[in-house]
Amino acid sequence: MTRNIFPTTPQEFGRRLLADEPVIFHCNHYNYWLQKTLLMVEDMGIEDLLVDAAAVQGYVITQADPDKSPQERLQTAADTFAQNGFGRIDFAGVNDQGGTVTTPNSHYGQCLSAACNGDFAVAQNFFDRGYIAGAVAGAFDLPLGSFAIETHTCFSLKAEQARIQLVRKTSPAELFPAAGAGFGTRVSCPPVTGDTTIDEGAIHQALAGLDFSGNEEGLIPRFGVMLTDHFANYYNRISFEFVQRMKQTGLLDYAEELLIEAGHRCAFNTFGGIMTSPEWDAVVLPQCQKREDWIYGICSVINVLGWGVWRVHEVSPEHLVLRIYDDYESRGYVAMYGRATRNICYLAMGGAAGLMNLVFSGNIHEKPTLDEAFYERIFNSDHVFSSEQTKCMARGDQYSEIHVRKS
Amino acid sequence: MTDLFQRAVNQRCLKGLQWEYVILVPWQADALLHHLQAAFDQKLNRYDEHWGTCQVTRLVLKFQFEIRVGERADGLTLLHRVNAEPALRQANLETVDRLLHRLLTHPNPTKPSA
Amino acid sequence: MKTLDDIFPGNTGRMKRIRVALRLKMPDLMKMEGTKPLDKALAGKLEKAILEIERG
Repeated sequence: MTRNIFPTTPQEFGRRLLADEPVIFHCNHYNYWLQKTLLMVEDMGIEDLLVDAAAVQGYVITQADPDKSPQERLQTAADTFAQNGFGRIDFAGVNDQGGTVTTPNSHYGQCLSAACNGDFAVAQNFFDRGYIAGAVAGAFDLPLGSFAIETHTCFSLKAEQARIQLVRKTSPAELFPAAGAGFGTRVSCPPVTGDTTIDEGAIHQALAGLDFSGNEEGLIPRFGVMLTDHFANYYNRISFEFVQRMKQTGLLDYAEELLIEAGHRCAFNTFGGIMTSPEWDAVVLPQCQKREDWIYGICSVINVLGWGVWRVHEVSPEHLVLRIYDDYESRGYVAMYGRATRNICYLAMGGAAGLMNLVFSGNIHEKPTLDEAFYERIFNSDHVFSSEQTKCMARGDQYSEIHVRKS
Repeated sequence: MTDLFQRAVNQRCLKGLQWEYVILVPWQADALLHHLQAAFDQKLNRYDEHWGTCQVTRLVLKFQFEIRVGERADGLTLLHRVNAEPALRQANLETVDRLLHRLLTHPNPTKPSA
Repeated sequence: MKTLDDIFPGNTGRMKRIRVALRLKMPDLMKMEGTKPLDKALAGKLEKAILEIERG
């Protein structure tokens, strides 16, 4: 299957850029929990935020090659959507005034249900709507925010077909600008050190043999989950803007806890899925001699996801000190809001605690069934691991540091 | 399911998308791949991946399913495509069941039967 | 009479309590004592909110 896409260009610290925007892997479970967390709050424009943050990502794709025709640019947007695991888009019904777009497959419309107990209250395809509106605006060289979503249907609400109807606005809305590659400290990253038999280079070489592109449905079933090769700044914008808006509610600290929990869910499902997968058994397990090696091993896998470099500084069955070089949350935060005054590595905090809970509390080496009952058993235990962020690159530190201890 | 093989759905993976077959008798991956192609009229697209020392073959019938052979020593994995209708999913599982039954009862890698 | 600890048991209950507090924009919910009996109206309001947040 030949797709008309821009190549992703490798950067330092395992990062990758697509049309100058960083892309990172996350799974349907994180996408569900993060979106669910944000949608808890009504009357704060969160639904619009989810759509608007996606619009700029579609826009950058169709603005990246101005020599192409609008139709060619829309094909690139559809192919990128499919390649990166978001599903399929048919743009045949749109022009510079709008029209109807269909998505025969949709990660957000069809794949979040695996993480959800029960039916959805609202259509889940916010990302699709925004990406499509932005892509059409960019393809016709119109300002970002030129289209409104008039109507839409979504598989998540059991629609037979997913349709998104765009109408041209008389005056474009002002939306978030693209944040681009973001800002890091350019500090050099140390190699893997410590008492471990894990060979990160060998793991990366082996993982390079796996195909992480969207299949003919534009979806990426890997490690027992559905992956997306997502825009880092989409996660960053929706998370940090949520935090900005929560400042006025008296619930900011608690909202941050929920973002950390979304990271914990991510660890549980994505890392748990990886550590119980045949891929892990083939590539990483042969290098693991003791339980701590599982932590080093999963960090080596994480380091190909585009999240920055996770280095184990100290690990024992009781605690973990993790240093993260060039984490995507900090890079995006600084680009969007300048230097942070609070710790903002929510995904990393939840993810790090999740790792320790999986390996030392959940005995992931015994391949437990990763269901809600297992999650509750671990999370409700008296000795659940939790995180504290002690350094944050977005606050000016050279790297981000997370301490994980039993409560 | 039989004394030759068992299949079970992975409850986590998209609520029924992924099935794992465990083969309970000696079998050969090459013969299985050969017979799978025959059972689906040579329409499966083949992709080979190397996971460390492991070779994994993915056979894809577009918009219907993907079968992975080699990712586990004890059998194969079938992943339905998301848009495949329930009746089609069931029919494809039954085709694989019949093939496995025939192959594991009368292993003959050189002569796939129709 | 139910308490907050009855309605939101354990760590997962705490996360659910935060979700309800966000949903109802009710920061005080996080400051209330977990073992104190709740009046019926508040308990009903919280249980209704739980049903809402437990939908997808």
